Amino acid sequence: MTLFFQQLISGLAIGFVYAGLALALSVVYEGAGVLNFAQGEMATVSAFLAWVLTTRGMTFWLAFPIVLVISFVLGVAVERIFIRPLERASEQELLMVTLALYLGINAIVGWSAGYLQKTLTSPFGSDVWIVHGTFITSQQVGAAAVLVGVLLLVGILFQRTSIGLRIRAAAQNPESSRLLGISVGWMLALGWGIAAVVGAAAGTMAAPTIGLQPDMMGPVLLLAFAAAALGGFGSRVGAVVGGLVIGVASSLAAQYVDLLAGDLNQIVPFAVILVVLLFRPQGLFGRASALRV
Amino acid sequence: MSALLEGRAVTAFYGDAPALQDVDFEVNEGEILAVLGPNGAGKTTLLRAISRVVRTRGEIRFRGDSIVRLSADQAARRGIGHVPEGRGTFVDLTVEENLRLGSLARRRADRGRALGDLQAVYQLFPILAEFRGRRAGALSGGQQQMLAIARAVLGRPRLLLLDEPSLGLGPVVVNEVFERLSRIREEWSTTLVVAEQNVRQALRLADRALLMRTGRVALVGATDEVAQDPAVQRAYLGD
Amino acid sequence: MSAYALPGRSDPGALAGRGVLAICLCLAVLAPFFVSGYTVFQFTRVLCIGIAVLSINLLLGYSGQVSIGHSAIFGLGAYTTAILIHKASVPYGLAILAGGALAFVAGLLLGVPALRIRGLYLGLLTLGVAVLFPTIVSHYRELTGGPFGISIRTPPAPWGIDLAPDKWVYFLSLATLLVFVGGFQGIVRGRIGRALGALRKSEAMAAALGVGLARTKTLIFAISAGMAGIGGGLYQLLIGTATPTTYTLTLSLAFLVGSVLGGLRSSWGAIAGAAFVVYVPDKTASLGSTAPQLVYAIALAVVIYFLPGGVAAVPARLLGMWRSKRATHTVQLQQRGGK
Repeated sequence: MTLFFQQLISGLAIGFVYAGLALALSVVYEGAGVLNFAQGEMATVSAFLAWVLTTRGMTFWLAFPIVLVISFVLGVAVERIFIRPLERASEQELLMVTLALYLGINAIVGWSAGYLQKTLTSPFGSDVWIVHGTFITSQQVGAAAVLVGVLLLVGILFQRTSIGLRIRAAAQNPESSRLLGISVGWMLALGWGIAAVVGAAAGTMAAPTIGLQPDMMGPVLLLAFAAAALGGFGSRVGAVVGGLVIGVASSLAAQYVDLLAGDLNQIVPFAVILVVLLFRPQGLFGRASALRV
Repeated sequence: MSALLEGRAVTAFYGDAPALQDVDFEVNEGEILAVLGPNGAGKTTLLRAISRVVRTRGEIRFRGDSIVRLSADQAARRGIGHVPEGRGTFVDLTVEENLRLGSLARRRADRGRALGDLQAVYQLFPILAEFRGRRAGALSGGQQQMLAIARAVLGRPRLLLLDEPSLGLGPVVVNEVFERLSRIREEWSTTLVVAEQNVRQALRLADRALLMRTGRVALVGATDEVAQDPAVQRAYLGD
Repeated sequence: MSAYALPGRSDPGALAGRGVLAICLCLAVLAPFFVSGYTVFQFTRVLCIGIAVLSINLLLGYSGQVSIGHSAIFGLGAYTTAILIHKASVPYGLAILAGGALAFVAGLLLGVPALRIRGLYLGLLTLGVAVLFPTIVSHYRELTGGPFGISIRTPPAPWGIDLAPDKWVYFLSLATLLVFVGGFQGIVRGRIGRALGALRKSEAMAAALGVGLARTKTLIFAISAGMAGIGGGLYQLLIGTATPTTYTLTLSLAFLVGSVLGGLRSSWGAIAGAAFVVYVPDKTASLGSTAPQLVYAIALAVVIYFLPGGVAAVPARLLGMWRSKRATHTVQLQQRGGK
């Protein structure tokens, strides 16, 4: 039983990272209608930024907000520079651009940082607590707390502020939004900025555990895709729930299903996507109306 | 009295087809102008030209300033409200959120009045007060129409454009909607331009009417004059 | 004016186009005899990858479906061919066809879910296929030789034709590519292609066409997969050793880059795109290990923002500019003369 709880805990811990990246994907999807393949790479850049600042002597808790702010600006910049010119483009072209961004950002990070894995020291120390026979590390608890905080703040931003309302409106019905004086383009850009911040938090919180190297977010992105699919693309709540479920499911599957213990563990996210696709394409929280063939 | 809104030689295209050809129009402050004509005559395009959703050639002046270079959201911020065809409510947001978005569109000077205005709107459309926490998509067509109008009115626009407010609504509801429109002109000091296929209601409500045909202005004048025009009588008011 | 509209026979642009084509074909046939063995190898790589890119053009350019998984389909064809030859001594021609058939079936399986959902899900499914293929192939080592793969010999020319194996594979690939180009143009100019073209322009029409259209899209997916599978089989003959790391997500992305670069709807553009994909890593690797990837990214972006229609559209654009200059000139002459 303790083994079960152990896997549960570690699954939840990483699940918050998936939830964060899935939320970022959802926010962008709701606004731009595209799955941003570069979301993980953008988070990698943020994590490396945190590493650069902390290894130059800055304390983590000063570096972290700075990284979030810079990530916000970068997210807005990416939307204005790369996505805005394609306002009237097809879905496929938008997807190609995010693929190009994925390739490009990954190449630049790889070239400037090299492929030797670096360490981002956990700001939460390396304590381990034993609760009912299960090991929980301070990094897991701290990272989860920070990510929960970020997710809550983003939720409040979208549900209770005027700017959040405008962003939601612009995403749902750009035409009507314009008639109400909303600058739809800038709302979309803000959405990308917020997504970049959430991704940055996820990447920075994950780095101490998963290691800091240019391809670090690749597998995380795949699991975040599965989480967003499970939760329902465009649903913020769904993304978070999906992330946690995927985290726990992957963890338990690795433990209890021999076939999926090693390299084949990668099947789990895609099996989830296939099942969602076949039985409930709109995901747990998505709207059926959001799906068009 | 210089007009609130003036258009000269306004021309608009959809692709290669002209939707408006060389149209002149004027709207005076405080009046209600009805825009009439069959489907495809250009009524919707005319409204979209004014709210800058479509690009046009020619000149359009609002309160003396040219607006042809403005984008739709800029025009909205200048005080041109537009209730589009099909209502355009945010179906996945609540009634309250829809209204709040309307309020957010108002100019800085009017921000202080927002709360009072919301109460006034709830009095004008009690059904919205009742459903305020509900998802807008759950409302009936007539209720969504009222929501769309209320939302636009909350922006305190100087000029309010309405595109076919009676579309898809039963006669009782249409009466209610038009009764509200009359009150809106009084209580909110707004000038109205109403594009309508329901000629009877439109002529009852409006001061002046503009009749369009295939993208051009066929007739314009006070409502009683237009109502007496034989072509109008034949096409719309006869049986 | 579409880059692929058939101009009138008397149109000088068309004549020039056909002339260029004839010259290129002659060059293609003669080339292997005048260049080094390594160059022949690279050319053949271009041809095989060109088949894969052509399959993407059919899928993406004409039916608008994005597949990030064609590396796995290409690899499926390759591994099927290798396994059949190595373990069952099947003649290589049959082995390749079997690989293509299996790939066709895989395309049907992937295409069927596409009936009900947005392209989004197809993208994710194909992504999954691309990511999982090397892992699964590595895992089942008795069948596939695991991480070390399977080796087969490049076959000699049949019927005693006096041609070295590398040249034989070159001509085999060239012939296959030409057959596929013919098939591609046949599909595209026929009923299906015109229906898909109408669909691209109007979603309302698409909704009205409904199920019939969805079945067509699945069929196109399967055909595209079959083509890629055969390309993979030929590629296998060429490189001799199939390992899982040859057929990764990166290869899928390379196919997409080649497709967009060459021109999503062009048959000849596929070859240009494939050439880019094959030669860029060689030429840029000296600049840094990730330089090829960056070059792919930049090239993809440049084409999307500035050159829709890719390289293939460039001649048509130049032709268009030349034609409009002529037309203006003619009008001016008429105006002066017409008084």
